[in-house]
Amino acid sequence: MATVSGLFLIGIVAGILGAVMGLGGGIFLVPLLRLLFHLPMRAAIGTSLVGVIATSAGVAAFAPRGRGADTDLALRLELVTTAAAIAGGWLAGVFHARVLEILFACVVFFTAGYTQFKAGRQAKTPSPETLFRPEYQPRHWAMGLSGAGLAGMISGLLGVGGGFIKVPIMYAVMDVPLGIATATSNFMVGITAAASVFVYYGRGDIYPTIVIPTALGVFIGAMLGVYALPRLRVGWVRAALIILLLVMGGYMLLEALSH
Amino acid sequence: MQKVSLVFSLAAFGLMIYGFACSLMTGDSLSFPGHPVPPLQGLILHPSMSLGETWMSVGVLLLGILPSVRVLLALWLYFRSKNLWSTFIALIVLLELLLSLRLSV
Repeated sequence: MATVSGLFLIGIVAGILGAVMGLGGGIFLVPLLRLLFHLPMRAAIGTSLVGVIATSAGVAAFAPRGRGADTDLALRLELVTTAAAIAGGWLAGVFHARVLEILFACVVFFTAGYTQFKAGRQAKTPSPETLFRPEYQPRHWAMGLSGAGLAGMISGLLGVGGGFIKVPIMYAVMDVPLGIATATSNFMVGITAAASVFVYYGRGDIYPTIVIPTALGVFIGAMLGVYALPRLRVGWVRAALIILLLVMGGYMLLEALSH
Repeated sequence: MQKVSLVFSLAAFGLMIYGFACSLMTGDSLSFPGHPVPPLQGLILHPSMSLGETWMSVGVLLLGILPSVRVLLALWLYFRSKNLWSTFIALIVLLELLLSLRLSV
């Protein structure tokens, strides 16, 4: 019963963070499931993918009107992301777990660095930045689609929604407001995770007794995150995003190197 | 879209919790990590799991197909508003999701 409670609690934490930052929560779930519950890498990934879908479902079900995803933008980026996620899901069966862990850490560090770079650039502009802006026009589609493809591949390989790439790509490269990028990413991560979850499902990497307490916690956490988001400042969300990315990347790298 | 997400999620979690409670009562699945979800064909044609595990598996599956249902709904809404380019994009995304489902069976 302690294991069930533990899974439920880390699910709640991952759901809140995932919903607030548009990350899906997989980036937190995979390391936590590995480090605290010593799950095999692929079982952790399978559980995380279901958790990512639960975050996406929670955000979609409870997002206030006008603070939801840009469905049009999400589906255009998902064209590339979903195809890459299917390929990534199959490649995960080929790579050794340590390779996946090192790759995970590298991508996380890169994303943290780029988000900090964007924050520095934004600080030099005179107008204050807001989480939600009614009028915006996504730019740099080629780079956006390339980033979305990378996010899909990482999602399939590592069992995360890829939101930690999608949010910075939409926010920093495509000039989408951070709040809209977060909501859109939450819509997208569900689709991307669904594309690879059935690959893990078919390979027998989804364990209901682990998945259910985790996913339920994530769903409740996502619901709490949706209510918290409009009350937060853009700087807080960005700072929390960078700190968590660095911590998780560090843990995963240490785990890989300690084998 | 919001209502569909809510109804699907609640149905999926309802089934999972019911199955989990059944398993706890019979003491079937208290071991971790327990049994993995069987392939779709096994779940339908050759059910070898307990009732609790079967309901849990169906709940996980229902949650897994929710994103596809949302894309299907977006496709229908775009089609109704005669937005053909977005309809085409949503259709391709849906086909990719169906391909991933096909690959797992």
